[in-house]
Amino acid sequence: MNATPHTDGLSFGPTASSKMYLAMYQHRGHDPSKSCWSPDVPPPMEYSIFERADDEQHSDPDGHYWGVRDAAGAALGTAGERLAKFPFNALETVPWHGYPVSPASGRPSETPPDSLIEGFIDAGVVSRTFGRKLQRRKA
Amino acid sequence: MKKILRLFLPGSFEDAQLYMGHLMVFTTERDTRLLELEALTSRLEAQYPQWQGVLRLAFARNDWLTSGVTKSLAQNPLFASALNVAFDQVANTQIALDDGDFALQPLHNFKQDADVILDTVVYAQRLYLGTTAGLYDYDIDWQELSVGAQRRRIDARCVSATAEYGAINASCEDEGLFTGYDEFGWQGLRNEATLIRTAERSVRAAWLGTDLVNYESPTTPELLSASVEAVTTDGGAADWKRKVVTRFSRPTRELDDLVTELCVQRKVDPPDVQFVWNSSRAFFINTHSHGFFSAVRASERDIRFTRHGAADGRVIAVHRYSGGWVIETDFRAYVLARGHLIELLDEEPLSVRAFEGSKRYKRIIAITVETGVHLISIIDTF
Repeated sequence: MNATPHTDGLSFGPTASSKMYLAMYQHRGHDPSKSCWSPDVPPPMEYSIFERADDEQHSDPDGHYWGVRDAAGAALGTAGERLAKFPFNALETVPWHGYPVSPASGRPSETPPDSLIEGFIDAGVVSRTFGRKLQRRKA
Repeated sequence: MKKILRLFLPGSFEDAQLYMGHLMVFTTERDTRLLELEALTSRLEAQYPQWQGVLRLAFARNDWLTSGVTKSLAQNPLFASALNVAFDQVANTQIALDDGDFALQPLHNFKQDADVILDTVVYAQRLYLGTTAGLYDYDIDWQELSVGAQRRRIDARCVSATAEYGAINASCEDEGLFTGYDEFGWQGLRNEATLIRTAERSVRAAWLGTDLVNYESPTTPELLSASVEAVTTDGGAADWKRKVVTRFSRPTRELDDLVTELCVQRKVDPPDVQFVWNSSRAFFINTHSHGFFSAVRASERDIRFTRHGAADGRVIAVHRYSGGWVIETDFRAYVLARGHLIELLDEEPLSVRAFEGSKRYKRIIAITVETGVHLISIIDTF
């Protein structure tokens, strides 16, 4: 998987649907106010999480993509986050990006809709336990 | 020294409660089913001779452990030693039942309309379900094992519910906190189905005595001071005296100093605080990198913190049972005993329930996992 260095991060892609992706340095510790990918999720793995979300259309009605490391919800963020959000990007010229989020934080922007999680459980993207805990705001 | 005894019941469940002699399980088929615990434990004692005399005490009648007879016997070192040996023989072992070992009974007339159960509460013989479609309640007839018609009390997504002092509180995130006062008409003034919005935002709430702590976020507690009336309700042969919450004040931020003081006293960065929770008397604060603390307010201006250790991962809930706190992390559950964490479960819990306020199940933790329910009994040395 080839990455191209960019001033703001490492660029990957395109995906099968022609999306470019930027693994941003600001979510790799350069901006302490931003959530941060875990060191054991290196940029190529971050991109593969996005690529799967794009391939399998893990998007909500607002167009945001949501991704996981595995069905059990292994941590992917330095604060223990188990879910990644790739906010909707309408501009084809701008690469997508993403970051770790947690419904347990209580922040609505970090919470995918129940119907998306139900679909994840039905499709085996997440285990029932992990899915329910996302819905119960305990993950 | 804690003796930990385990009983596992397989099944596909969303949650489990213990109430009125029964294990109540909420199935993935949107059904609620029951298992009578004394009958089960009696049968199992015959099947597992080593557990004879122990199973029922551990999983059906915790009240007998602290009864006058047991306490009196345990004062004699010979009896105490015999009890300890009997429990030690089976401590840290598990009886894992098969599907054919038990039969769940139906809770007649139960119907769950909502897609997903988010929280369950059983209080004063009434079942409350917090769901993706709102808060529902069902009055249970424990003689007939049936429920009356479900009532949808509020249609906002209810992520958490808590009941005590005749009141129910429904935490509905951005929709707010909603309270039903005098739910059972004990005070006699009102028994309305409508819930009142008592805070603007709520992810959960917990009782602090008769007051309520509403969590606007996982680390932001606000205090709702309660007006309380003592009432006497008809309990048949003996009347029951109860406290009933009749009103909450508007939420105040007077608990903000908990986190502020922790940061000052223990040199913790505010963003490092991960989770705050309270029992009736104390607060629990977990941090990402400084371990977790209990906090007690010694006086209005004096908060005392005790550091207990560090949990493995984020704390997502704390539950109080009669012997202390059960700490639920992302992937494990622990009991906190004398400052040490004892692992209760080495797999991710789907739900954890403790029953501090119950008579018979004070020492049992019910942990639902993807493949069934673990009943875990935590017994102190006699």
